[in-house]
Amino acid sequence: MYQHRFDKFLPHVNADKLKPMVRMWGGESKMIKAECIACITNGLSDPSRVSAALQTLEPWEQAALAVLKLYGNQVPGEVLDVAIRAAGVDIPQHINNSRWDRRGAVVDALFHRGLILSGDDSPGYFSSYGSTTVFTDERLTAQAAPLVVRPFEITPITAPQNAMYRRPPTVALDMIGVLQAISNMGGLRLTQKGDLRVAEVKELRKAVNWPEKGVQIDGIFFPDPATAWVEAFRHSDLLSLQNNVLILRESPEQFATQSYEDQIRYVLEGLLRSNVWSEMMDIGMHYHNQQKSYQGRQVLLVGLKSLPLDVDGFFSIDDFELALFNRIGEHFSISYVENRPSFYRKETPSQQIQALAEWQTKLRKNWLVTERRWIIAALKTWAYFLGLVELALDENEINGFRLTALGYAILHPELAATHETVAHSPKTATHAWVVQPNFEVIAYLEQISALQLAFLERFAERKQANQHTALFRLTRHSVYRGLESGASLDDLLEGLVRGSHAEIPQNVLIELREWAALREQITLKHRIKLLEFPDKQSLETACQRDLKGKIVGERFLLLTGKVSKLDFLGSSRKNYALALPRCLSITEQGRIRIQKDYQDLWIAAQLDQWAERQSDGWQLTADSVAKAVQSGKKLADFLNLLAIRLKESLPKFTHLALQAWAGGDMKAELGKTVALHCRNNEVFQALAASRQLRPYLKGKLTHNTLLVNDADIEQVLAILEWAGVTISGNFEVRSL
Amino acid sequence: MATEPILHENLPLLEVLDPILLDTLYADPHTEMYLLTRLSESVAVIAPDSIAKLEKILLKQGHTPKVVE
Repeated sequence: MYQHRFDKFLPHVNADKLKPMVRMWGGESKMIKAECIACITNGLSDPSRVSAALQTLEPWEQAALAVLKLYGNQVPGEVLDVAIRAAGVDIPQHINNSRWDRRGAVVDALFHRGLILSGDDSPGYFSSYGSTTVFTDERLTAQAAPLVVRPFEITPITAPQNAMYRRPPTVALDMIGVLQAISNMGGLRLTQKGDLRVAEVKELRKAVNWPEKGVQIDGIFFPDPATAWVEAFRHSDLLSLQNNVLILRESPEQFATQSYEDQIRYVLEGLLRSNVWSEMMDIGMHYHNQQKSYQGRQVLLVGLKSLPLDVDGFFSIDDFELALFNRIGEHFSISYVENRPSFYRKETPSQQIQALAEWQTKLRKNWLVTERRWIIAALKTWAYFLGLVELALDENEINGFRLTALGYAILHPELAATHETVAHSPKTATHAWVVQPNFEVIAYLEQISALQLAFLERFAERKQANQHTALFRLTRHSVYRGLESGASLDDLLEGLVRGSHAEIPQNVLIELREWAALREQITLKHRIKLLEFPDKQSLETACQRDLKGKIVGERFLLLTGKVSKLDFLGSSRKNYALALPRCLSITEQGRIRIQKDYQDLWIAAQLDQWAERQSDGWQLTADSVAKAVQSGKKLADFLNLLAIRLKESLPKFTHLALQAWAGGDMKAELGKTVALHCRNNEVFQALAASRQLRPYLKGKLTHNTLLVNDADIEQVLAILEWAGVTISGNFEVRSL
Repeated sequence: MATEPILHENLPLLEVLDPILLDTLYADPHTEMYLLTRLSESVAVIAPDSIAKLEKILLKQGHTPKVVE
């Protein structure tokens, strides 16, 4: 886990910026840079001095640390600014007025106070637009109080006739399903740039049965859920990166043992850090909006935290978004914040008031077009999907919402003792499902433990999930997948029986055993140790020496159990995980030989696939190569084999022949021409430049040889005879 | 032929319960290309870097091969 500490960054901050920071730690402005750094780092390393320093902070500064604590000590500066305002914390007027556009004023002030540094290249530089990522020292937030918000002054609406929310087990089911799919895929491979591979996301979509465009959840459209949740998992602490593959830190079963709050909090935190997916992807968001969406999620979370706590009712969307607009509308937009009007002392007070009013009207208008729509989309998608909010419906339109018990538990952990608790999943296995003769499993979500959910996700395919039940189906493939993940048939049968209300139908038990038996028919072993003996007798002798293994054929022993080095004293070793030696030679005629006394268990059979075996080697022929290609083998694979196993490079002519035999278009043209050779350069130049001869010359072969078309030889001879050039017939073509 | 035993390490292998199944796999060009030396009636050496491809083809053909490290 990354440590957020100031120590190593302070030396990169200019001395004039450090001087104001030391005040919090009892330092003075006359200190030199090294003294400033020592003063701050000494203060931070002493918990009692940190505690005392925090006492000196103003409420808005304490709120800033609380926001940073909420977001894991690091956040875009713009979000920090807006989140403090969304919490209803008053920012002192002198800070608000310190910059004409107010942007970045809060971040500047917190930096001068020594509470944050820039997380970008230079820890002392902050973008004038407040877009810099900022971080605080974790020793400050460790002692900082949780964020205290000023509740919105809004009143509940009449209880809706229709309302809906997702129960924690249903949410957990989806989360465990995604984790199980990632586990089955052996992790998610990334591109070299670190992006998720499109094919991997596609495979995951298929595994969890989520179409690319989106899915209807309880009648509500959720755009591209696979991208949303894969990105959320990726940015959560649930996955870790190893060799460019994202793998699970813990198994789905281990994840399932945590409380629903913790499971969902993990995923929510990941979603808050992800900027790839957007709530309004389905209606086409501008890239800038997409980038801002994730900042919006962080701010909306503070808005949800600001809902009144002392009343139990639904709040209208209208009241909520207006209350949020009143707090942050001047400072934040997921599209563009209209600049506050500037005044140059020539405007009268009434003109200034009018200009401000027009600006606020415009802000509100823009908010209603963009932010209001986005807030509804956020409530309908991740907030609903994760079970944080219950939605009030009026003729299928969402007009209100309230926090669920889970929403309270996640947003107000400080109220855990006094507020309604989230129903936790049973700790032990219960009778939670019925297995039907048609292999369908109906699971009752109120009775099922999270571990049992993970069990069903492991061995069965989920067909659908409702508020109270989920329907799974045991299939040959799902059972195979479960067994491949490391479980045994006994694990499957015992788990099914333990969780079932009734006896498992006999036909289901028989079929499950049958499927498990089918899996034993073929075994693929990645890495085995095999001992090869010269003959049957020496194998038998070795077996009598207590060498453990399974005899394969007449001369091989498949070693099982621990292998002692002593067993192979005097034996030669071949390690197929390493590059095998170059042992082949080849002639231009395609004759291949293996180096004398060399053998491994690959090379001869590989050559058999492409060449005809003969008494002393192999012969490549047009027929043998064509046959290999016809059976689906690729010439590129064979050329690669030759490249890594030949002692010398493959002759170009043989390479050409292989390509031609494999169906390549390797053409050459042959025609009759006569060579006109001139030893005397003067003669050559005169002939080459002759207008009379030009129509009959076909080009130059060398620096002193011209080519004449065979059909034109009589005309050429006549011209040369006329010019008195003697022609002899004793020109010899030399070898190349 | 070598007179001393040879230890082959990290070799990928396919093993079947019924030898006829291995005959079938050698007869099928889709799987044959990944099978090299046949060590016995029921055991064959798999071509380098081919286990995942072979597994995919076997699954496509309706087999459910057990894959072990």
